[in-house]
Amino acid sequence: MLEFITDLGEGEPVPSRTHRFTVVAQDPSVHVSNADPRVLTSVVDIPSERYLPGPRGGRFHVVDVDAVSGRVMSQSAMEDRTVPSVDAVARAAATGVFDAAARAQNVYVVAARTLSIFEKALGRRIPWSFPGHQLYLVPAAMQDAQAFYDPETNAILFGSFGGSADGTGRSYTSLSYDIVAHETTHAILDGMRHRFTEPGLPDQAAFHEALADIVALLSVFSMAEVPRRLLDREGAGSFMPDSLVSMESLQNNALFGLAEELGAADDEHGGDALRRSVTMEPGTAWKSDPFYREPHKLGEVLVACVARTLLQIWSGRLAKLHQQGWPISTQLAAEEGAKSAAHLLDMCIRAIDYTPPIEFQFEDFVDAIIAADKEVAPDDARGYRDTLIAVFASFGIEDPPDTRHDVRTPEGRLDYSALHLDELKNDPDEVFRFIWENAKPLEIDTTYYLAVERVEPARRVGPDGFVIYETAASYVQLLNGTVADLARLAEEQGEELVIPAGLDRTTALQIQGGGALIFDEFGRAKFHQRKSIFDWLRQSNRLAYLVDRGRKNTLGAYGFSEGAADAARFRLLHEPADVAAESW
Amino acid sequence: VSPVASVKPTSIRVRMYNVGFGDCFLLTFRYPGGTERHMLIDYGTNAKAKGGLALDDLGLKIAADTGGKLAAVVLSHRHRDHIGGFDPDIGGTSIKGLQPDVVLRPWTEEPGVEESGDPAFKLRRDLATALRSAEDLASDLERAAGSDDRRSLRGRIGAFAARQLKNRHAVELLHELSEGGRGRYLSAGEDPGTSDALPGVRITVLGPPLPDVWPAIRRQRADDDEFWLRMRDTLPAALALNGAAGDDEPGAPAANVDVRIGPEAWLVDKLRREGLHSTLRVVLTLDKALNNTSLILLIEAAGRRLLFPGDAQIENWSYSLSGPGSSERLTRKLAALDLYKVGHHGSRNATPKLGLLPLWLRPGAKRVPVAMLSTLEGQYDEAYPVPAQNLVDRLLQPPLRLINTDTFPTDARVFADVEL
Repeated sequence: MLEFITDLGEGEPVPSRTHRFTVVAQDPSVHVSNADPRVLTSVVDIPSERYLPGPRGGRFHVVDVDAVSGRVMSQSAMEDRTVPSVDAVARAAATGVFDAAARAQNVYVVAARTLSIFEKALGRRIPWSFPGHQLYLVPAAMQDAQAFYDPETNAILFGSFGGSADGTGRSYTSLSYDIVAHETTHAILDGMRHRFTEPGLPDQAAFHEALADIVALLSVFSMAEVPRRLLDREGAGSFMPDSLVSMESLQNNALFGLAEELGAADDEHGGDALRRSVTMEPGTAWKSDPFYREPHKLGEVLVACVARTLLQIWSGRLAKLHQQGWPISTQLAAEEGAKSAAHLLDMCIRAIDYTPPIEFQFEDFVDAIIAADKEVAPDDARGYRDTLIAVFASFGIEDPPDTRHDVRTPEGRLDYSALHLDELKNDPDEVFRFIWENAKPLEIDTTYYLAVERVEPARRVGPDGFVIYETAASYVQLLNGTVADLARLAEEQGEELVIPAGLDRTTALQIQGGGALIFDEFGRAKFHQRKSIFDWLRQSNRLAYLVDRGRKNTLGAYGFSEGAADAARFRLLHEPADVAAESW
Repeated sequence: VSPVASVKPTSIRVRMYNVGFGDCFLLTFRYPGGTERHMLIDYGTNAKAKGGLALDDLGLKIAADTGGKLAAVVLSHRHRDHIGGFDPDIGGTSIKGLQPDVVLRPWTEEPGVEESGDPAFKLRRDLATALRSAEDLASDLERAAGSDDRRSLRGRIGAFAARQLKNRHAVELLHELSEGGRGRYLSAGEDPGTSDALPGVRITVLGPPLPDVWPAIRRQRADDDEFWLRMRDTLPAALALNGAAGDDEPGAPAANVDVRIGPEAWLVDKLRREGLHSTLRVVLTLDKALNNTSLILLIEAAGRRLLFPGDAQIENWSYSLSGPGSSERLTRKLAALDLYKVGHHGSRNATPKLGLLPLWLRPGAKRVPVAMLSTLEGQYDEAYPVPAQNLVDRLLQPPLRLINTDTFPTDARVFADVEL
């Protein structure tokens, strides 16, 4: 086993909590600047750990196997690239030859950094959706310009494409930062919200794509080398020309340029989508455009909101510097961009705990971001929340008034008398008991099946330096019946389940609901973000959508997990939007 | 005796023969004075219907139904389930005896199109070349699979590949029938030149679009020759290797793979199966690319409108529905059809859901087409059910009407007969 030694200390080597590695900042086709032909790389820190050949650490295991032929790199070849005796990416960047060892390291480090960004934002470990601790990463799995997360093989498979028969000039998706981050995010979100691939409104599946693109975009951007280069492609000036400071020019020069480059490596998904997102103008036309009924395309709207928020935050920070009258150094401007991206990324990730675990809609995201951020930074001195709210609203996504309830001051007081604090912090049965005892003030109907699925701690450090401890619990409600049964139930409640024309009333249907409960450090419930199972308007919309798209299981029933092979869950997300819209 | 140009058909008869999973339509245009002219659209099958007519017998029936003469033969595209019958050993000799006046095929079928030296045609050349390479890949895969028993993944790959084969003998017969200026190699917007053979019948070509005009048609590697060549280098060998054990169940010994037991071996075993799946997807891509070369014909005669789209997929359709080939005039026509041949045996990607259905179902529509579906359930592939139940259900709902060969009784004499 190799000991890793950091270069942080003088004299005695100091064991470190992090390991420092070089990664390809975008992909090997992107150079430092027009004047400097070296591949643009960045040095990043990931949590330190013990490595076995592969590399293989606590959460990831790189296996260099060709998925088509099943050929594996020999064990001895893998021994050679036990990280980090040599920083293989740094070596590759110096020689210009990105070999198998460089791919293995790059894919490992980018995936590990992505996971650590999530873990840092949430203050806890995040499990995979499958039993087991190590996600396989396969850096050259197939000859195809795509990569995908496949929960069936517990793996992310990366393809390669182009180049000549002897392998020169080949492009590897495992060397594209954004693609690795995108696919890793699918795996992470699947671990946190495994029901987001259940049949629901298109928002839910769209969020998988959107979050993956948001994380890819913002995490690339949070490496200062990237905005630095975008602001000064010629590698000429050390100061930023005034003309670049405006939001429009940042959009045109920096963000659009980045979206173009990220798209170039991945024509199947990501590419065009990101480009469209970055240039999408605020408005609500997308709501009535049938193409935006497709998850893949719909996700672009959310990415557009986040990209625009980034631009506003960044240009706001630059404007402040600019006001002081001094020229802004390009390096400083880039670092401000990187910081803005990192901060916004944190806000987005922290929000996930506050989203309902099922029946997710876009509005829930903005709501969750705001609620989570308020807890960490009540003051919002820089006005980030206002900016974000305004941008999302400009796209017609507004904080819904009635889904999240601050339950700290409910009319009927919550009863904790039969509960135990320690249990409440980690035991689903205890949280269920809490719901059971407080069903009335929480306005949860406990007549039907309800299950608490997750109880997880979350720790965040606020700007004041204090740690916020929270417990995030989520529950789901499921109810099966025929369409007629459920319509009758709605009627009994004085509402209506709209049955799509032509749908047989004896068709089986599962309706779903659920919510997230956030407890403070004393085990007192703070928030209840819920999607009531008896929101019949939402249920009607969902049924109409599922029937329209023919999303029924093999028994002809709607709304149940489709039993589609795990791999297919994610492949479906990648169907081109126009094809999906016209399909039966 | 050729009727004068002003002569127009007074009615149309459409026969849909029950070939199982395939297409074979005979259009009969009736002229004043009792003369008839016949147009055959496609002639093939992948799987015979239970009790259905065999293709060679069908050749004799077509000869009888046409009274010994065909005015036109249309080949929508070269898939076996559309072309197979033209093989001289099957029904080709019968068809040859009917001496068709014109043979309509998509532009990709023109002999030598992949060798044209004109740089302006690079994209067309690329697409045609790539399609040929893709067919070569299919024949290698079919051989490597060595089975078309769809109970195993390998058999499914074999069955799919077999449908992509070149059908050389049938193609040769069509080339022969096309000699002497009788062949038409059409793309969207082109005049099919059928006015002598079928006077008074207006045929508008809505697809396939040319790749230089409509890039969507090049999607999914359709024109990426390199890709197909590379796949040909790797996939058949891998299929032979992985399929060597004879089945693709987990736990089957992986052939020729040197990996020690442990987590890597677990992954390799899983991926082997995944690899077969991705091979299947590649063959599907090829299927789709060839489907997208389908002729989409709008046929107007005797005050009737008929739409025959072959197996065209969305990328082909979109040129005329929303792309440069679209127009208000065309939309009005498509909104008032009398007959729609359901695309691609009722698959989920071949009848534009937003592009066509709303036109037919708009309030106050005077004409609603009868849909004719030539298909056989359970024949395509288990992962991609054809016909798509949603589509069939929708087409069965009034005011739409559906005639589906899959619901025909098992009797070789039965065919759909529609008078328009």
